[in-house]
Amino acid sequence: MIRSVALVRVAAVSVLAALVLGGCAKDTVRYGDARGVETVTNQFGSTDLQMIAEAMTRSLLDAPVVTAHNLPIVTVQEVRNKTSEYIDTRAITDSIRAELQKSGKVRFAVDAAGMSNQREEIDRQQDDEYYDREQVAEKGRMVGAQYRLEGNITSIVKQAKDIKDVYYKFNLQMWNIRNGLLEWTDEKEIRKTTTKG
Amino acid sequence: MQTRRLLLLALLVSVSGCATFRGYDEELRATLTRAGTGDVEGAIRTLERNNRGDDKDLLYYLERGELERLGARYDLSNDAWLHATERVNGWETAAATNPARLGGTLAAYTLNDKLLPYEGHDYEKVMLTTRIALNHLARGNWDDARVAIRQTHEREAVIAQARAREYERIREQAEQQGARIGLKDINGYPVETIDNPEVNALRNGYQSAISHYLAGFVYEALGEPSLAAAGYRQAIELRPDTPLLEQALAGLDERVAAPDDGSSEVLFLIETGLAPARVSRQFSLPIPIDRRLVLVSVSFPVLHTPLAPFLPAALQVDGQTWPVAEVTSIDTMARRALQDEMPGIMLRGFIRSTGKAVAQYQAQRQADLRRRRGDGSGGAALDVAAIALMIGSMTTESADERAWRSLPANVLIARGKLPRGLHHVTLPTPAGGRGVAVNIEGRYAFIGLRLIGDHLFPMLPEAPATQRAPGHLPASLPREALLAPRTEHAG
Amino acid sequence: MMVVLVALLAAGCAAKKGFEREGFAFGCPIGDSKVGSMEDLIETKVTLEGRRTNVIVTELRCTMSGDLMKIEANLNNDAGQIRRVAYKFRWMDREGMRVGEEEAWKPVLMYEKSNNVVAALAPSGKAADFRLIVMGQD
Repeated sequence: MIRSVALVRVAAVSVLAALVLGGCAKDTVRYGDARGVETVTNQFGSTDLQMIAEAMTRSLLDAPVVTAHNLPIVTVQEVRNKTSEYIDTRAITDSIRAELQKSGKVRFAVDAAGMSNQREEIDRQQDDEYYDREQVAEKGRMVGAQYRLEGNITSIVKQAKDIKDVYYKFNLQMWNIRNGLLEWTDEKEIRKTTTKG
Repeated sequence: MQTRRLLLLALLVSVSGCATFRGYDEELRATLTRAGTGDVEGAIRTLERNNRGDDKDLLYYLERGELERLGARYDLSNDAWLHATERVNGWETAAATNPARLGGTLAAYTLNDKLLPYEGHDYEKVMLTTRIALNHLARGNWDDARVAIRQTHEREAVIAQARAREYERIREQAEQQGARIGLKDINGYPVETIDNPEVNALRNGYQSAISHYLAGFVYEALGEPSLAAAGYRQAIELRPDTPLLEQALAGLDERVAAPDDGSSEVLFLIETGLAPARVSRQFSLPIPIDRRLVLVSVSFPVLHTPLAPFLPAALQVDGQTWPVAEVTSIDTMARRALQDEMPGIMLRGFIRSTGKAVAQYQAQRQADLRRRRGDGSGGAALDVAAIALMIGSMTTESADERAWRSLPANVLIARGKLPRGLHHVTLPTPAGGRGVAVNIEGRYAFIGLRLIGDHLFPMLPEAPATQRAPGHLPASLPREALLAPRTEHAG
Repeated sequence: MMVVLVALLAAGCAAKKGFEREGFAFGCPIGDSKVGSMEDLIETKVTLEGRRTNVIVTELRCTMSGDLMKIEANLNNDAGQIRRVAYKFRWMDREGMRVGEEEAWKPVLMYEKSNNVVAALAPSGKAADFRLIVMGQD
């Protein structure tokens, strides 16, 4: 009797406490550091994206094909996602392209995904008589890329009771389109471990 | 003092007992019976009758959206589901920022689980965004479908985190309070309905192969193979040994790179049956009172399948046989969800019954004491209190039956290439083949077919959003022309 | 024998700044500041921000790769436990203005009693000076 009454009392108090504590807590929204170290979960996150983009860019800028100062023209192809996580690899290649472009040492040709928009715009200018004929973009003037960037991202996930370990490997390659030679390649590895408790 | 407190408690228990008396199973059975005959309008009317208040809850919007979808009114369906999403978002924010707020109010611990605001079972939250995506696909809005699919990924992640924490907490709480009872301790509980190899083979109760496969298909259609690959891969992991799923991943790069040859990659989504019902049943649970284990009657939900499962093996497309494979069983997911929820339900039931049993025990003991002391009226009052408590606990003690009932039980797919234009599709049903003409356009096309009983609801891509006007024909009628029931049984 | 000795002596002198250009120490740009040793260089170039850590920078070297500055820094964890830090480089042009966006923090795990060499390349040829910023993550 005594035990069960005490038990109910303990239960009631703990439930009440949870309610009171929970009820009073207010959600706050604050701006954070977009480039801060993010370790909310061990899924692919913003820090990983930034680290990969930065490492790849800097490595590529140091490659002979770029340091030779001939402003190579590059197109970005698909980075294959071989993990089972939803990683938007286009977000990674977009970041790499933006950083490379800012360095002023690489130029980019329109990629396959952007080609239909490009074609449409040229057609539109060509077909519309409201445009100045002299300045209209002509067909057959686009410059093809000399090099293409492609890559893949893989992961190995290991999970035990209280630990989850994820290893990511991002590989990027730059191929010479004309002769099919591999001009540059680099890898970035990331390991993340979550432990409970 | 003691007397007054007990009387108050008795009053409280019996009064709120009336307020919580709502049998969801019964309510929905009528609604779904109507829907099963193709009378979507009637089903919606029944649902409305049962939800007259202004402040409609999540469950109402879930069912309403599904019924509108059956009527091929995708806009109205998504309107309802948008309301549902708002409510789920509220839960999501709470789960992400303050997990302590979840998992039970005082009322649930003292009176009834039904006093918990309905938050939706996890698989329902995931299915909600998946079905919003289906509506967008039916209307040809692939970009909007992509948004809904991304929400699905995010929601899954939130659920995973919240549940890991919650189950941990419940286990600790249960241990602290000596409530070390398992499913098998509930006398007569049909354990095998929620604990069997099929149920245990699922990774969890909320991730489904169909949600991820659909994500893969949408990403593929939008030219994002790297995301599509992840979707197909997840689907394969969630539902291993299904060739149809494996083929999707194997041929992905080839399909994306191939030039447009004038044909369409068509995905048929075939949904059959209805999600299982939770029905309240009384069981006895051993509760420690006065250092002895006393069997107390407690209600727990038991799963009940409303329609016999039907899994068509093939689909006839222009006379050709297309293989059909089951990719997700929402029925099994619901069972797994209940299995995962049971520790929490049992803990609350345990605390509740202990409280009630102790109060009853005390009232009776006090009454006996008073009577022995010669205080007849005090004893009588306490007797009344004890009886009130007993009646109160009988009325309040019924399990939470709420669940999204209009969801399908089984989800199957068929996929292949078809030239653009009109095609004739026949789906076998328990009552013979049902035919439907579909118009295929674009490089990727999506066709939904829903079967409830032997009534086929086609969700065709070109279906216009009809305005509902008074005296409008039952939603299935306008497409009667397309629905030429055939006698041959294609299965 | 004698020749070797002279060569060695000469090399010794070279390491003592003899061969360094004006305004550079260990290949790194130092401007007008007085840098007489590795410790001085580290003091002018390394900043601790946010949470303090006892992981320290023990060496810093710079070189040019084309027109891009390349830096290597040695991090040392002298403690008997694993330490986690994050670092980033901040790049400045000749006028001391920031070059490019602020870099992302890069987390590093340092085993007990260990060293770790981190390397960086300037984001563009405009970068003429830098700071290495270290923050504790434990």
